[in-house]
Amino acid sequence: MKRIAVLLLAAALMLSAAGCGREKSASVQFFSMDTIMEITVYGKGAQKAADAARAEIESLDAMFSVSGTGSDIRKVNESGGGAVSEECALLVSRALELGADTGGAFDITLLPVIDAWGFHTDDPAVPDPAALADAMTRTGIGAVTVSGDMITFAKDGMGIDMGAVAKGYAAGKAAETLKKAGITSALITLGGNVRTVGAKPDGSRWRVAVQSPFDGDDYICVVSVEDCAVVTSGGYQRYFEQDGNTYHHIIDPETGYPADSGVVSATIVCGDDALADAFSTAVYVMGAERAQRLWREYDRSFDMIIVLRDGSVLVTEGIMPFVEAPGVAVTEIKR
Amino acid sequence: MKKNLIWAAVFAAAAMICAAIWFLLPRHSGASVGIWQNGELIKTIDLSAVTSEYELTVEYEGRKNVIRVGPGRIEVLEADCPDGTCVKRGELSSGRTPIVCLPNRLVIRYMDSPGGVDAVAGGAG
Repeated sequence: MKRIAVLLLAAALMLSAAGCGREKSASVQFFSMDTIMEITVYGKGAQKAADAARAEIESLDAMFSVSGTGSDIRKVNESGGGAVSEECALLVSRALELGADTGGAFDITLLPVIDAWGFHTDDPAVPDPAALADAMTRTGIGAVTVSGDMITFAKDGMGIDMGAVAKGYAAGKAAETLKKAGITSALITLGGNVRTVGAKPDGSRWRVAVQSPFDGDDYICVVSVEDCAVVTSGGYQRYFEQDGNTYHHIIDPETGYPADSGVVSATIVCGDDALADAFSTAVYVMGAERAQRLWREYDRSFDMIIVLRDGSVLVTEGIMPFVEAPGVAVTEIKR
Repeated sequence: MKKNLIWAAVFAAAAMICAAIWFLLPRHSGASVGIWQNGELIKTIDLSAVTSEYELTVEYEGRKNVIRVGPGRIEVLEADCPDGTCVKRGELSSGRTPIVCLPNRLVIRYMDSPGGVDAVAGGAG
């Protein structure tokens, strides 16, 4: 009888050992902020933490949506200014600062221009030049003031669109939520924005691919990271065609037309999620030379992977050791 | 001694049965793709086991996506969404980025990350 017990115990130990290598994980996929999102969490309490992170993102979507009923941003746009929640005011204020830091290349006041192009509709089209010129007069980050929870527009018909910063901010808040729940390993993808929490469950770095702007099913390089954001902006996913020309959705605030700086994909890697999101757009708009100046002015506190129209890639020195780009011409940007 | 041998044989047989069950359990092969609708996995297809082409239709709130499945490949053939991005996207050949139809809340992607890649940063933002 003892022998049976010993054998059964051994069998039980073998089976439980087989399961030991498997980390508990949970994954939620959902649609928010007009894109597909996925949160994968590892460790104890994974499902509960993933659900909490999702709830955080959805509440921020309700706050920052340009079209959502009752959103702070819609309210302020329809009323030509007004009071918003403290969190909304703080992010608008931060976005204006980031816009100033980029010399206006990142601009949350382009809503009238985006509306003229119809990018928030199902039928975008090249706007009439007079309509576009009129929309351009109603933009400018210098014409928006945030004081406490009050947002004021200096011009009639202005509006703000937080689309190029809210996803990054939301990813950062979701990461915070996960960390507060004791999670040390997670992966958050909000559309094209990636946010890693800690390292992978086995302790290695996350491998994040940067989508190729030339082939939607391929990637141009892979960067290995931990506990930071990897955000890419490119005009190759949201665009329309008219009269044989392609028009993408990233507007150059100086011209009112889709940016054409020679950069076809701009990726920012850093721990500041809102900055990563805003600067990826800014770098796409401003081009490689201005982007390098911005990187140096910012004391290299973020890193960049810039893909140029000819397929060559520029990588800042901070992440150069972590970038794999087989068969691609890569130039290191040094201080 | 004989009893011990019997017990050893019983134990070995039990271990082999366990191992057989373990290996026969369905799991995702490298060619297995999942189709999600509004965050819910509605179908998995092992593309390496597909021998001839076929189509399947999925509906969301009265709108349809027609998906064409072939040996080693999958694509959205038709969609009555406004932008048709999922159709323009073409085949999920190397599988590094998913096929997404935002209006119809449809996602098609490989179950396992190909090439050891954990996520893809893309230019939707």
